Amino acid sequence: MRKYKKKYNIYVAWNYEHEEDVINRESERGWQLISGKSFSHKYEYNPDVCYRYQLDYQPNLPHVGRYIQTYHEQGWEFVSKTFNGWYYFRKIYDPELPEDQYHLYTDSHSLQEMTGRWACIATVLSVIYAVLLLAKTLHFIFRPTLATLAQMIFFFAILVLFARGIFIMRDPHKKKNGRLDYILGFVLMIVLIGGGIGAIVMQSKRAHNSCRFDSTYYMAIPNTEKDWVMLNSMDVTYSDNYYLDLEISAENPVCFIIKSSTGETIYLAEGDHFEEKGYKLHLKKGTYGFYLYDFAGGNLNVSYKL
Amino acid sequence: MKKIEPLSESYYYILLCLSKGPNHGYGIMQMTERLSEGEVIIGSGTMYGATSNMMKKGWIQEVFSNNPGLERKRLYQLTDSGKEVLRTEISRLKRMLSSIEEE
Repeated sequence: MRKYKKKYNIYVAWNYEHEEDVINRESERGWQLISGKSFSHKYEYNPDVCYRYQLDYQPNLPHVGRYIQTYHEQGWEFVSKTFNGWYYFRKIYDPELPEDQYHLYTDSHSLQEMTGRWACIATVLSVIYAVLLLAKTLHFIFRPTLATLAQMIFFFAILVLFARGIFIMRDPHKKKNGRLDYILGFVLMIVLIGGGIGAIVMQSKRAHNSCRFDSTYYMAIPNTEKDWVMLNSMDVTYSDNYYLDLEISAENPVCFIIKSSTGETIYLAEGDHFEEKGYKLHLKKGTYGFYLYDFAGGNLNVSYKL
Repeated sequence: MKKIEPLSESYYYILLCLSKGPNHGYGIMQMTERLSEGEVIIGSGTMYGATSNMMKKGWIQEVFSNNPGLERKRLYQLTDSGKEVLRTEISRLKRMLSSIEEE
């Protein structure tokens, strides 16, 4: 009966040596890696052998088959590859042989070429994330909301993480402060995941409301509470800033109001021609209603977006 | 004028092994270990990168083996410019060694 186990883990690219150490330790205990993915490792139990595992980064190989075959001819068994170009290889361990036999990269120049490939791709991605962060920052300056802030935190954490990675991978011999790197990576990971989840949740739970109310002739709406015309209502699930765009064009002046569920009027606009762009409203959790009143009748067009 | 840069140990041994005739990656690795008395070991990643780079530079080229048993193996062969690079490197190394004895 074959025994398997699966471990879930996140390794930052520049800690690939640490990942190799973990896999090799598992191999010494009899757990042989049979599939390495970006977020999980699958092991098979076989205490009769011990392998040495190595990772290689080859994101744009012209001939994958030839690459794997070349390594195979030189004694490296292909284990698996990740979607983003990391390859796992292994070789049966013989303690008599020199340690260098178990390294794919045996000089600093070629090792730097390998890590440089990662640094190059990471630099391109960093530029994209920097542009996104800049766009979000500008958006936040003009219209601050928590959802935008969460997105900014997310992109910022990615950028710092990548900057750290690029710094190390450009010169892999420099990185010997493993513990600091581990702590920094861990903290940034938490911020990254927190920011990402926050951004997704806030964006998906963020209330959006828009309405177009067009009429060529509309009956008079008197200024008495029971005759107000309710256009729409909206549920706000968390306290945040919202921005109102409003346009009114009417034959006679009309009142537009937004009321909270407690009856408090939080916004009031009045006029026959009225326009508002990006008016900031801080809305707390609750239900809000949009109403019209005090209209003498005639043509009426109201549109708003929140 | 062509810029002359010292070769790395791995590059030097790969060219040196190929100067003795066409060979495949694994053969070069074993010959290097033998020639250097176990001092220089070329890993597969280093070999793959070095041979790709040298092919791009035109120092070596791929040939296919006539040996029926080795049909699938790609062999590397030195080109004229590869031979030139190796000759230059060897004379550089000799000059460096002879400098020890002078003065």
